[in-house]
Amino acid sequence: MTNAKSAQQPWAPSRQQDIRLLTGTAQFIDDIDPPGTLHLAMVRSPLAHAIIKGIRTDEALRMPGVHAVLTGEELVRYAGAQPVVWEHIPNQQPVTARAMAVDRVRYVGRIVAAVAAETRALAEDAAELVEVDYEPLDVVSTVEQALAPGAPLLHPEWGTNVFGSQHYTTGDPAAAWDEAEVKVRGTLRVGRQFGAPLETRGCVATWDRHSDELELWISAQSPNRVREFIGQVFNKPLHSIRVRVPALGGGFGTKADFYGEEVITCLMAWLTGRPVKYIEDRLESFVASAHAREQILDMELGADRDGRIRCLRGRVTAALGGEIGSTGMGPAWLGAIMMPGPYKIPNISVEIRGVVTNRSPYGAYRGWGQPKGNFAMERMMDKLAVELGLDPAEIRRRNFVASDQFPHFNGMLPTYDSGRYAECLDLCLAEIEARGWRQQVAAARDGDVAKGIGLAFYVESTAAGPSRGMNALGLDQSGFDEEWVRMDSTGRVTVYTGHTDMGQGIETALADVVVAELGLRSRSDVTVTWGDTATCPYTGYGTGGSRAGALAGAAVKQAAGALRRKILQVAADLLEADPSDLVLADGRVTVRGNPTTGCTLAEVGFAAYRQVVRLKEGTDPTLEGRAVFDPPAQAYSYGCAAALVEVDRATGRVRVLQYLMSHDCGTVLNPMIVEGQLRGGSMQAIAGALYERIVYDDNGQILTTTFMDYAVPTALEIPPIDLVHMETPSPVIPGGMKGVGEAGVIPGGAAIASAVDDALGRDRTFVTELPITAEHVFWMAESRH
Amino acid sequence: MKPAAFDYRVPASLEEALALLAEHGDEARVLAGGQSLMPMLNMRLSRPSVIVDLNRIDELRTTLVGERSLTVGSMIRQREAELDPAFRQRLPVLGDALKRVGHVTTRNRGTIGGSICHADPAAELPALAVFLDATLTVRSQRGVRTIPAAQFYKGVFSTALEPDELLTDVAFPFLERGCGAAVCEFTRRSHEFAIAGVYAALTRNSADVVTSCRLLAFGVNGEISRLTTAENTLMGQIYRTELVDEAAAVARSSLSALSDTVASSAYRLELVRALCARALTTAYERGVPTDE
Amino acid sequence: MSDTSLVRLTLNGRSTTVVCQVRELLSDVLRHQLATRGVHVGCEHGVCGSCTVLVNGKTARSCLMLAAQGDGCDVQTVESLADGDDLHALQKAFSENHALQCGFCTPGFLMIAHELLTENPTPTEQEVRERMSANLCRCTGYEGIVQAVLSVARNAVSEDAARERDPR
Repeated sequence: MTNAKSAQQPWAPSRQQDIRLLTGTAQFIDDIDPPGTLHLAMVRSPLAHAIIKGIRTDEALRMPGVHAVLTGEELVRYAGAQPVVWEHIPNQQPVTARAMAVDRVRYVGRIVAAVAAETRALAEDAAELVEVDYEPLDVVSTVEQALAPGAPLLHPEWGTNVFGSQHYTTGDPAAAWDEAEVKVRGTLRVGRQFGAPLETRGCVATWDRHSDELELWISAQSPNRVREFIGQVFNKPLHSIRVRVPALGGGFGTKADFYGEEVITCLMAWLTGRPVKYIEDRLESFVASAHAREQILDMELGADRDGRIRCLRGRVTAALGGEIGSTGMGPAWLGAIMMPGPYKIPNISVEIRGVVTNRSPYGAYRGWGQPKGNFAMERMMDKLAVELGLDPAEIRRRNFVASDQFPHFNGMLPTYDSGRYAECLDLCLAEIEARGWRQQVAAARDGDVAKGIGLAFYVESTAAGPSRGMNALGLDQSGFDEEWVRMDSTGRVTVYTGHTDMGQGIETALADVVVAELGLRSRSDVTVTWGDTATCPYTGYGTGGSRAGALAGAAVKQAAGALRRKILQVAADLLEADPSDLVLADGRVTVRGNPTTGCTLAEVGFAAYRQVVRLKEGTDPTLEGRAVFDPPAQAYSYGCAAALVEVDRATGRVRVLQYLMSHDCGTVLNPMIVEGQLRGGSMQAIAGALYERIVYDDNGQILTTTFMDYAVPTALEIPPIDLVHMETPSPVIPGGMKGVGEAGVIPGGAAIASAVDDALGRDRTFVTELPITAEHVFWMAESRH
Repeated sequence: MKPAAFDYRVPASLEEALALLAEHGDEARVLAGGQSLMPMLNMRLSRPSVIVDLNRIDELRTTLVGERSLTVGSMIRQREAELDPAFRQRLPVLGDALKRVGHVTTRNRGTIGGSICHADPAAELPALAVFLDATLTVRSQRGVRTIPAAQFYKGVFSTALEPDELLTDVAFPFLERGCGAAVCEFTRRSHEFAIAGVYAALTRNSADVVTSCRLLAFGVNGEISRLTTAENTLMGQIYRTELVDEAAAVARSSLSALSDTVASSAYRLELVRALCARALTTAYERGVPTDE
Repeated sequence: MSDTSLVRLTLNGRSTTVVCQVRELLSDVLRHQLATRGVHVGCEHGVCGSCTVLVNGKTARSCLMLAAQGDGCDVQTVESLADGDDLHALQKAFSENHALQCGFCTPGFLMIAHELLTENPTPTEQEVRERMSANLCRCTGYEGIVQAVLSVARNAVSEDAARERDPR
C-alpha cells in the first residue's frame, strides 16, 4: 500500500482533531503520566447488600510498593457528601451519598477500599490482601422485589424503597379516560443498559500539600462541574483547583456524571504526596459506571374513534441502583415529561417514581431517559392504530401538533419552540416508498424469513437550558454558555470554550462558526481550545443535554461578532476608512468596492498588539470578543426513524436490513458532524433494541461483566443509516441551531419493535420489551403458527 | 485487569517443555496463541505459578496431508490452517469451522491445539474433532499416547490431559468420497461463541439413498453430542425434506439443554432443530452422489 | 527465575530493547515504555480490538500478548502508517469519510484495514464489513469505516490502472 503523495493542494482533514487521532498522538487520560505517579486499584464489594463489620488493611499496606490504603471511615474525615445535582423531584429522599462505602454496601461493585501502589498490577495484588468482613443482608434485585410489602429497605431511614415520585396532571384525565371511545393499555419494559464508551473513565490527580494546588486530569464531559463539585466535597476554594480534560474516547453521558473515584483519587494524591492515577478497567466499568434505561412504563391511551387522543395516563417506574448518583432520577423524569412527544394530548396524568434496588447506580446515557419514554409512547400509538384499524403513520398524523401551533406546551412541563412534524413524517414515508420497502415486505410475507417495516416519531429536548429554569426546578446549576474568541498578533483566531469534545466534533463545529463570522479562508486558521478550567470559560451544565452545538454555536457567533467589530475598528484605523465601509472576507479586510485596498488579518493583529501607535485614540489594543448566551428556552429537535427488519421464524433472529431517519435539528453548522451524531445515536438505538442488556440474578449478582456478555454490536449488525434533512431554524436560539447529539438514539427501539410486529403480524404480536431477544421473537412467531 | 504474578518459561524444544510440565504439573499453564488464556489471566480467573510459552517450539508445527487424514501440529495457527490450500481441498469443513472461530486477528495467533485443549463447549474446533473422529496425540516425559476425540472431552473446560501432558498434534480423518459437510451455528452477534451449533455430513448414492450420515450438536448443554438416533432416521433412506425435518425433530428430543442468560433450554433445543435441518440440507447440497 | 524479561524487538522499523516484568502486557509496554501511545486499551480481554498492532506482519491484539513474547518480533503500530508528515491513504480516507469521532478505536481499525488491503486489494463491501466486524466502535455506526476502506481500494485500483495506461 503506497502513500499517495500530495498533488496540487495540501490535504486537509475533515475535522480539526482528525490528524492527531489518526496518527495516535492524541493524549487520552491514560497517556497522562506525571513522574512518580501511583496507581489505584479498588476493592469492590462482591455482595449486593451487606453491612461492613470490619476491614483489615495491614497486610495490604505491608506489601512492597504500596503507599496507602483508604477506607470509607477515613475518607469521610476529609470528604463531604457526593453532590446529587438533580434534586428536583419535590419529595425525593434527602441523600448523603459518599464516594465509597462507609458502613454498608448496596450493590456489587461498590468501592470498599482503595489501594495506591507503584503499578496497577501491584495495586491489584494488594487489593486482594484487603480483608473485609461482611454481614450479608437480604437483597432486592428487582423493582418488584423492592416494592413488595415487607421488602428489605436499602435505606431504612426512608421507610421505603421509593426514592422519589412526582405526578404531572393536565386537564381532567379521569373523566377523559371514562369518556374515551377507545382505550388501549400496555406495560412496556426497557432493560438495563449503559453508555459503555470505548475508553473507560479515569483521572490523574496531583495535590500539592504545601501550596494546596490541586490539578485533576479527568476523562469527563464537564470540567467546570467537576471543579465545582471537588470544591464542594473537599470544602476547598475553587481557585486552588484546576480541572483538565484530555482527549475523550467517547462520553455518552457516562462521563457526565460525577463519581466517587475522582474524589478518592484526589484524596489519595493528598495523602500520599504523589500524583495518583485511576483508570477504570473494563470489568469495573460494568459495575462502576452509570447504569441507565431500566424502566417499567404502565401506559393507558384513551382516544376518540377517529384516532384523536383524549388522554394519556401512565406510571413510570425507574429501577435506580443501591446508591443515588449525581443524576438522581433525572433521566426517568425527563423521559416521562417528554412522553407526549409530537402529539396534542389535552388530558394527562403521569406518575414518575424512582425505586432503589441492589444494582449499580443509575445515571446518564445518551438520551437521558427519552429513549424509554419514546419507546412506551410510540408503542402505544401503534397499539392504538391496530385497535382502530389505522395505518401507524396515519394515527400519528392525526395527533400531531400543527406547525402553526408553536410555542406548544406539551401538557407536562416542556414548551416546544417549533416543529413541522407532518412534513417530517411525509419525508420519511417518501423515503420508505422510494426504497421499495413495502414490496420487499409483501414478497416475504409467507416465507420462512419475514420482513417488516416500523417507524417511530420523536421530539428531542435540546439546548439544556435556561439557567432560571434550572434553578426554578431546584437545581443549583446553570445552563448558560460563555465563550471567548480572540485574535492574536499574527491574525490567528482561537476560540476558548468550556465544552469538551468527546468525538461529537464541537472543536470543528465552533471553528466553522468563526470561519463564517469572520470571513476566514478555512478552518485551519482557527484553533479551538477546550478542557482546562484555568484557561477556558464557564459552561453551566457541561457538555451534554445536546446543548453544545446550539448554545456554544450561538455564543461563539456572538463573541465572534464582537471580535469582528474590533477587527474592523483596527482595520479602519489602519486603512483610514470607516468600519462600515469595510468587508471581511478570505482572511483580509478590504474596502467595499475596492478590493485592492486592504490589509491582512495578520497586519490587524500585529497592529492591535504591537503597533498601538497606528491605532486612533479610543481604539483599545488587543482583539477579543466575549459572549454569554443563556437560552431563553430549550429547543426541540424532531424526526422520524424507520426500520426495515428481517425476522427468521426458525430462530427468531431479527436483522435490521435498512434504517433511515428524517429529521430537523434547526440550522446545521456542519452536515458531516450532524450526520455522524445521528448515525452513532442510531447505532446505539439498534444496540439497545436488539443486543445490549445488563443482567442481574435474584441475588443482585451482575452476570454481564465483559464485552463477551454485553453484546455491543459490530459492523455486521449495523446497516448503513440513511438520513434526510429538514432545516427549520429554531426561533429561540440565535443562529437557529437545535441540538442533535441524542436524537439518533431516541426512536430506534420503538421503530424496530414496530417493524418486528409488522413482520409477524400487527394484529397478532405486540413487542413490549427491549432488548428484543431472538428467543422472545421465536416464541412469538411460534405461537402464531 | 493485570495478571497475578507468575514465572515465565520459554522452552526451545518439546523435550524442555515436557520437563517443565513434569516439574510443575498443576501449577503450570501452557501459553499457546493466548486468545483464551490471556483474558483469563488478565481477569485473574486463572492464576498459574508458571506459564510455559510454547511459541518457540518448531516440533509442534509440523503438518502432514496423508491419504486418509490430515495431521496438524498443535501450534499451527488457526489462520494458517484456514488458508492452507491442501487443507481446503481435502477437508473443506475444517476451513468452514475455522472461519467462525473468532476473527482473523485472533486466528493469526490462536492455535489449533489451543482451542482443542481449551475445551470450551461452545467452540467450533473441539466439536469438529469429535465430529470427524479425530485422534489426538499427547506426550509427556512418561511417553506418548493417542486419544480419540470422543474420549478427550470430560466436561466444560475439562479434558483427559494429565497435568504433565501436552497435545502435540491432531489427526483429522477425511470424510468419505462424495460426502458433503456443513456447520451451522446460532449466535447473538457475528463471530461469538455459539448458543447452539450443529455439524452435519451426508453421503448419498445415485439413487439418492443416504449411505452415511453424521450429526453432532455443541454449545447446548456443556457436552459435544453425536446425534445417532437422528442420524439413523436418515440412514438407508431416500433423502427428502420431510425426513430431514423428522431427523431434526428427533435430534431435538434426544437432547437436554442448559438455560443461561442468553437462552433458555427450550429455546436452545428449538435452535438445534432449526440448525440440524439447515446443516443437513446444506450437507446434502454439497455432496456428490456416489456409486454405492 | 526472574520477574523481568529483556525484550529485543523491532518497533516501527527501529531496533529497540526494553526491560519489563514478565507479566506485563505488550499493550502496556508499548504504551508506557515504548511511547507508542496510539495503541489503546479498551477492554483487556481481547474483544474490542483497540489495541491491535501488527506482529511479524499480522494483526494481533496486544492486550493478549505478554510483552516478553515480543522478543525477536517485528511490531508495527499505528505510528508506522504515516510517511513523515504525509498520512497513509487509509488515514486520509478515514477523515474524509467521517470514519472516526472520538478516535479511540481508530488505530485498531486502521491496522485491520491495512492488513485486509494488503491481503486483498479489491475486497467487496461484504468482505470489508466482515473484516471490520472484528473491532468495536461506539461512535460512528461503522458505515464511514467501511466506506473509507472501500475508497482506498478503489483509488488504488484506479491508480494502478492509470499507471498501466501511462507508465511514465
